[in-house]
Amino acid sequence: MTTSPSTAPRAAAAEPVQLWSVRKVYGSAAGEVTALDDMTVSFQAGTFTAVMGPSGSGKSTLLHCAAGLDRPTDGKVIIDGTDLGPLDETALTLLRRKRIGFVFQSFNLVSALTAEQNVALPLRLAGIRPRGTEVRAALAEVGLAGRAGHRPGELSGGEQQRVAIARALITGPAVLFADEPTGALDSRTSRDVLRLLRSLTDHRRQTVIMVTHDPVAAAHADRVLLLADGRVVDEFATADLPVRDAGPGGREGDGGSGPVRRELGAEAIAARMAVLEASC
Amino acid sequence: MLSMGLETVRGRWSGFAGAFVTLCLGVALISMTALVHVSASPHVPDRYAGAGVLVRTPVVEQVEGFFLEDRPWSPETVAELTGRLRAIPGVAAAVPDRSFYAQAVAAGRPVPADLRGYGWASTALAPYEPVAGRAPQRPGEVVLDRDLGLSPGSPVTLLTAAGPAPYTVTGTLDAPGFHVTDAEAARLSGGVRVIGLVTEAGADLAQIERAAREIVGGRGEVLSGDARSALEPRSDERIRWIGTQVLTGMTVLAGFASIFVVASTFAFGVVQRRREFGLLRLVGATPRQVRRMVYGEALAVGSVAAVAGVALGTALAPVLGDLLVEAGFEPPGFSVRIEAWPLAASFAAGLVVALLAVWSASRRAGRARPLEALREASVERRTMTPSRWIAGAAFTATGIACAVATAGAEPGAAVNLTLYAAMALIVGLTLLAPAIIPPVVRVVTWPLSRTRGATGVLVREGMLAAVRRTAATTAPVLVTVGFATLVTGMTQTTAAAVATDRTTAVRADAVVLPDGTPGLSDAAVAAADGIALLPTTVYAEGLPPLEASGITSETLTRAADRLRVVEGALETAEKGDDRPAETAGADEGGEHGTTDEDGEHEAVGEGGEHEATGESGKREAAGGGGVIVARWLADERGWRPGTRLPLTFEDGRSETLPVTAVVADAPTPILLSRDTVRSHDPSALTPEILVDGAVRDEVIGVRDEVIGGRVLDPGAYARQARTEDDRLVWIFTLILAGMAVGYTGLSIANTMVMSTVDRASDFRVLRMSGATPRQVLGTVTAESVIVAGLGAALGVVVALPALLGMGSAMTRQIGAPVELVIPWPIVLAVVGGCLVLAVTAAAIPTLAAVRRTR
Repeated sequence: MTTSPSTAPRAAAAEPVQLWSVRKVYGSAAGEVTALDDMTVSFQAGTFTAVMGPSGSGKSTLLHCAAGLDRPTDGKVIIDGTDLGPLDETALTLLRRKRIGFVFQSFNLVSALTAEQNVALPLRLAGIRPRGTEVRAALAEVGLAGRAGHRPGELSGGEQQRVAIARALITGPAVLFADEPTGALDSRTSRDVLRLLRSLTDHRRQTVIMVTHDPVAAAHADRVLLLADGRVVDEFATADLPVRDAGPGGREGDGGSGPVRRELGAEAIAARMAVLEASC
Repeated sequence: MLSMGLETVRGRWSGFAGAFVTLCLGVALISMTALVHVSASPHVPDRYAGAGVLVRTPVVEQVEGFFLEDRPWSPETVAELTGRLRAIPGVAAAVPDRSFYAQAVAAGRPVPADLRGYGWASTALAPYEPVAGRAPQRPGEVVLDRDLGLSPGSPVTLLTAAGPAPYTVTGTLDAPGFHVTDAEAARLSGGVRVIGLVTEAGADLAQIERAAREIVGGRGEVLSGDARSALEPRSDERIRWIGTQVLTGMTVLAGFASIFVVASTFAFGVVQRRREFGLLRLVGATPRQVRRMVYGEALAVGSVAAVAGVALGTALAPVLGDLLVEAGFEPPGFSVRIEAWPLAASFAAGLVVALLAVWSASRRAGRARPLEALREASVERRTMTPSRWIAGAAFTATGIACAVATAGAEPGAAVNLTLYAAMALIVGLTLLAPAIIPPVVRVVTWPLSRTRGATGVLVREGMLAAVRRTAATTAPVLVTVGFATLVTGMTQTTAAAVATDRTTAVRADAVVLPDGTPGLSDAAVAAADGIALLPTTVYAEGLPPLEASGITSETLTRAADRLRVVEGALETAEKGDDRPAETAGADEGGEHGTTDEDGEHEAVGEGGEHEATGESGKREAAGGGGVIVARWLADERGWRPGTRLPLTFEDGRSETLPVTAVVADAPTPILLSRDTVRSHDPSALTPEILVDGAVRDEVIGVRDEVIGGRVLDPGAYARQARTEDDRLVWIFTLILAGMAVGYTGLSIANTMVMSTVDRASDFRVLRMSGATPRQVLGTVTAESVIVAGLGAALGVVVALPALLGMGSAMTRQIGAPVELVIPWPIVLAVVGGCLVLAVTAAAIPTLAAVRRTR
């Protein structure tokens, strides 16, 4: 990940999400709020990035602009090699459908549909008849093999979030955005969901960008981006964090030293956050 | 995406229940009216069913809503045609059909069952069973309906246009009507319009028809087979036409109300489900796909509702048919046939209505943005868009324009115009509701913000914060009350205006009206000794049949100021009478003519319009064989006083009469002398007699002798619905208003339930903040009461300007102040109904929600 790419856009395969001088201003002339201030940032393929920052730092706006949910006031967003600027609403929707997956704090499942139908929804929206095996495989991958026929109301929060993740992945997106994916879950369920996200990057080289305010969640990422007042104020790899009793850095696959390592990483991230907030 | 729609409907049917019920009822009504409409076709009258070939006078196209009889043949033509038709090989007899007014009198009261008399020969045209007894052979003998219960040989009093007369029953038939000798029928009736051909057994009908056509040429029309149904009585045709108006009104209203309620249901549902649509957009649905999904939902609900509606309509159509016959909107003997295509059409109409209704909602759903799925509380967006302002204003203006136009319209058209006015106002106001309602709520609920308890504040702030919800729930109440007030108020004000018109028209002390009879006989007129118009029909070359009235010179004198002479002079005034000129056009001389004491009048022959001036002025009275013409007709035809008009009368004879005056305000387009009318139309009846005070007591004393009439004082007369038409219009109005109110009531319940169900989380928060279930219920009830009261008040406020506009237009038209009549009992009943409905519809889901949170 590079925060200041100085040359022309790099190959889409290497950096599926690129933001160039993106500015986002909300409100009218009277009460203008600059949520993103000339932000240039890109995300490398196959990495797990956590975006952190205090409330109002612009982290959600960054996600919305990067995901094509919101249009920036100025600047350019390139997803998987496509500039979002000239796209109309329908073209943007089609791009989102094919290339982008979302997971949100509030799960956002369609309550009238079963878990299986929810997962198949993006395919059906794309006019593809979903194959039952494909959908069930996706559910099995998130550990919900037996819950295909349940409606969201009959699933726990963690299960609902897994359905949402399965749905986000069904189209094979270039990037998965997660907005506070553990915000509505208890710590135990949170850990399961975070592990699931981690394993996606580890095993499928899935690019994941997650907005969170929880250092524990951020500790699961490869990189952490700290925002304040619409700017990137700090960025670091979790592997570089000064951690006492640190095992071998980088990505861990086993659950042995991982949790301990992440717990310690979370402390270090929290410390950096505290410094940042104090300086604001 | 259509299948997505289906699943959504299955998943949340409660949100679609209102739309379903509305559509189902709408389709039921449409299929019912379609079946009735298709079934309402004319059939061959029984009286002619036995004649293979019939000849009738040429038909002249009439203005919509007029059903006057066509011009009869002259007696010479009848004689000639009859002679030549009888000579056709295979024709046994050619029977000129004569009919006249006749009614039996039993115990001093007219029997209302049979009202027509015929010549005996015409029984040959009908497949009646043989007479029990014998045919009439002498004047004063009659064969009558077996159902009257009179046996041959017994005496009977028959009331005809001349008055009661004694007859002897010589036989009975299993058929309606009174059959007298042909000679007597000729004396009692006007002209002949139908000649029936009695054919010999085995005769070639087609050949006879051809021969008859050759003989008749342009002088008539030859009918056989099913075409004979064209001979059904004009009165039946008229009843069916009225029935069609009612059915059209009902269908239009059902379609409109269905669209309105379904559209508001879906619109409201879409607002509530913005998050859901945003979510779909988030997951990758294009706006088009979201729109199609909403259409899919409408289609799913629509097709199920349409099937149910068609089934319901098919089951209920015969009931509606019977009701229409009973109310007088369809001729007796009408029955409903079930046919496939009206049902298929109704089903399709149901789907079209559903899709039309969902059009705007689907557009709004398609505009939902993906980010809306991420917002916790739905933030109220701008409630009034420029297009909404423009459309709302345009509809409201149209509605007011229609309301004003109602004043000058014919009664039949007026009801439909009223309906259009109400519908346009409804749409306009619903569109403007989000703009109108918040300021009103703010003012009305201001006292609540001063109260000590929490409920007041909660109610006020809740209503203000959710403008759209408040508007959505107020609108149907506004519409219901507004519609009821407007429609019933318009009809009642019109009726009151007509009554005012009547009382100002004649300053009589008493009025004699027909009672159990279609009109009053000359004997009744003589007994009452009042003044009366004698209506008839006249025929001028190149014109549709014209309504005319016979009027005595005395009546003319009394009505002079009402008629408003434009040109010419009404009549010769009494000697020394210095009645002032009514208009500039009525020149001095014309008013100082002389009149013959014996009332005999000379024909006006020479009459150049202003030659009638001066002391030697001629008798221009209609009674003198002159013609008074309504201005519109005179202008249209270029007639002026002095123009000589060739007119054909009810008996087929023609006379050339001079125009004596053109008047602005005539009861019928043409006024003639009463004697002229009576001499040409022996069967004409008098609709009402105006009696002076001097003779009033005497008249009331002889009431029993005025057979078939009753005496009313002017007040009772004004209140009396003068005609059958008034009664039909009122029933029609009640049906339409009832339907509309039923529909909008449905809409009230629907929006109330939907909005309350949607607020379950609010109630939970209230309960957690320490509100007792009773307090929550109290808040909701208070809100519902305010919403209903607000809607009712706005509804009345909205209806008033339209009614006032109509009233003032009528005042101008009539020239006397018209009082605005609002049937308050009906309006209050509707308001009460709305209140109960709104509170119940809100309280039940609240209770359920509060219980769940316990």
